[in-house]
Amino acid sequence: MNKTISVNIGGTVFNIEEDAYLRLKNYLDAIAKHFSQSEGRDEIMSDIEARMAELFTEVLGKERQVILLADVEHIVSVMGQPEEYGDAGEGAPGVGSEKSSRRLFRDPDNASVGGVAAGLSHYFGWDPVGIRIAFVLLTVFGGSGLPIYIILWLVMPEARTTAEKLQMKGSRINVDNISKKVNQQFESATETLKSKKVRDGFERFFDGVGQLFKALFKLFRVLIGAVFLALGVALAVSVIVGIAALMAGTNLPPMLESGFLKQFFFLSSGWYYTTWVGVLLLVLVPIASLFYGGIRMVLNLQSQVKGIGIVLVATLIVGSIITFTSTIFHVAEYSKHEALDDVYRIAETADTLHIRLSSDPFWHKGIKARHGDITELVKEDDGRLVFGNPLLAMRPADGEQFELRVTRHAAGSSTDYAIEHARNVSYEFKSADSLLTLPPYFTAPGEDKYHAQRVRMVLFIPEGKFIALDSSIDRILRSDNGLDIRSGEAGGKVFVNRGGEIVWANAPADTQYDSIPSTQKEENIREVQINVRTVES
Amino acid sequence: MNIENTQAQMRKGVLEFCILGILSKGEAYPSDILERLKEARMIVVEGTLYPLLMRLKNSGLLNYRWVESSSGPPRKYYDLTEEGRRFLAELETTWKEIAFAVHQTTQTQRS
Repeated sequence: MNKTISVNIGGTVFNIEEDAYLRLKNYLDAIAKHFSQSEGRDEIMSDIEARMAELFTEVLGKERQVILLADVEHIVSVMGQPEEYGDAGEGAPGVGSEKSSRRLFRDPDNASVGGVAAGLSHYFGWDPVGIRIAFVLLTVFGGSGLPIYIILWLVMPEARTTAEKLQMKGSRINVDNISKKVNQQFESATETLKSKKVRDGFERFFDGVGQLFKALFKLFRVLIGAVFLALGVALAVSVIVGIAALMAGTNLPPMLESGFLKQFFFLSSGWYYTTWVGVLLLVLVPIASLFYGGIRMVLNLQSQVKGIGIVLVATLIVGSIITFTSTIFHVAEYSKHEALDDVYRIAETADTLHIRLSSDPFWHKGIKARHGDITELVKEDDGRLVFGNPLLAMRPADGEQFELRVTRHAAGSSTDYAIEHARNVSYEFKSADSLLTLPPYFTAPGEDKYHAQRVRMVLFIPEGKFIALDSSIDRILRSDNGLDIRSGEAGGKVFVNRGGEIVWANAPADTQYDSIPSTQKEENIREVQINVRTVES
Repeated sequence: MNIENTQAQMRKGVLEFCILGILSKGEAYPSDILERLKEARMIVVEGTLYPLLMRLKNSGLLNYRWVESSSGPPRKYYDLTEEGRRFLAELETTWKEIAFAVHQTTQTQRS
């Protein structure tokens, strides 16, 4: 079953199959095109159509109702191709219309390497992919593929003009086909302008070898250029994404947030912006080089953009100098480390020292639990830097007294500066009777910037004395906390210095462990104390 | 030297002459003309006729009129104008001269 179209040819209605219709339309269009410059084109067309209508009526006879493709082909052969008509004015009879046999050409349009396989495929009607595979197989097994290919390359001329391309494909050379062909593929001007030189064998040979190397070189050049471009794009994208992430400042380690860098790390905002410029210049050079080189290689541009090399090198040098200087200056700020110790006597009369954290007013402003070794910082409204990671450990005391040693660490470009930075660190704990309240943060003046300030505390526990840890304490306990319970699980427990070792006082697999609520209150601690005493007695 | 090319040139030269000759015997529509030309093997593809008819008509050698057809749409019947007849007469003279010349030259060459 085929679709038919109803057409009016020269005043008579015909039913025509779709493919036949397309063929007929192409034919009439070609005629119309042929006469497009002639006077009375429409009249000629209508005369021709009238004649065709007659012929169709004749062909169909009485029985048949539908025009088939074969009918159209028949009528086209009777009427002839427009270029066989001769021009309406003078005109020679159709030139070259008799030639329709195929010739063997290399096909530059469908070439993978030299167009040999594509040309053979046109000539023999084989699949070019199969021919290519055959060449490769012949090369791999036995090695004859490559020499055969090269010989064929040298022997087969390249199809350059449209007429040659049509001959290669075995199409009749007439206006219809040529116009189709020209429409199908835009022939580059250079190709048509290329003069067809008659070459002798040697010239052809060396030309062919040259072309082979040229093609290989071209292939590699385009491949490498494409890799360059891809790298450039990848690098540019990652830099842009990285900058966007820094600007947005979400989901980043706090050390990398731009606010942190600007406020706490860089000596001034001038340094901050200058360093940014330096880093960007440094990153820009490889990206620009990759793009420039890649585009030049892919497009085979011969002309250099003047002075681009100098600009790139200059950019690289400027960026390096800025970055290097900034790095030197800022690294110098951490060249000296100093620590100041202060020892406080606390809870002089108590047997049990209760320890807990004070409330944390900065929690909502960004101080969170430590993660890793990263210091989390906020800048307070009054300009102070707030550090969220004081650390506490327990050690047995030599004497009879509880003692708290607070060590303030800081770095600086010189010992004096390091000491000054350490001295500026402020840690305000409270000790009243048997209760030690430790803040989960310490502060430094804003103008000190980040100089690796740290607060480390050691609580010395005399022999036979107890400490009751509130569960909040876990947050500031060091990993080597001096206890026999690891940090994170020590909170809410009571420890005692027994024979120079600080051990969990109510250690026996005791139900108390699970029943201790997460936030300890005074009563709970007392309860624990009672239990401790029970154990001890 | 391509023999087919030369033959085509020769045919083309006398084709107009033949068309005018056919029409001198009375008006005809293109299919009639084509039939006569094909019988005489003067034409290979039919499309050749139409631009020629157009040219002759535009030069004022031909006229046409529409005639109703029993088997289809109306047909264009071509006829010679007065100028066409004069033109034909001149061509006939020329043709005789050429025929004579060809005859003479080929004869003398053969003898």
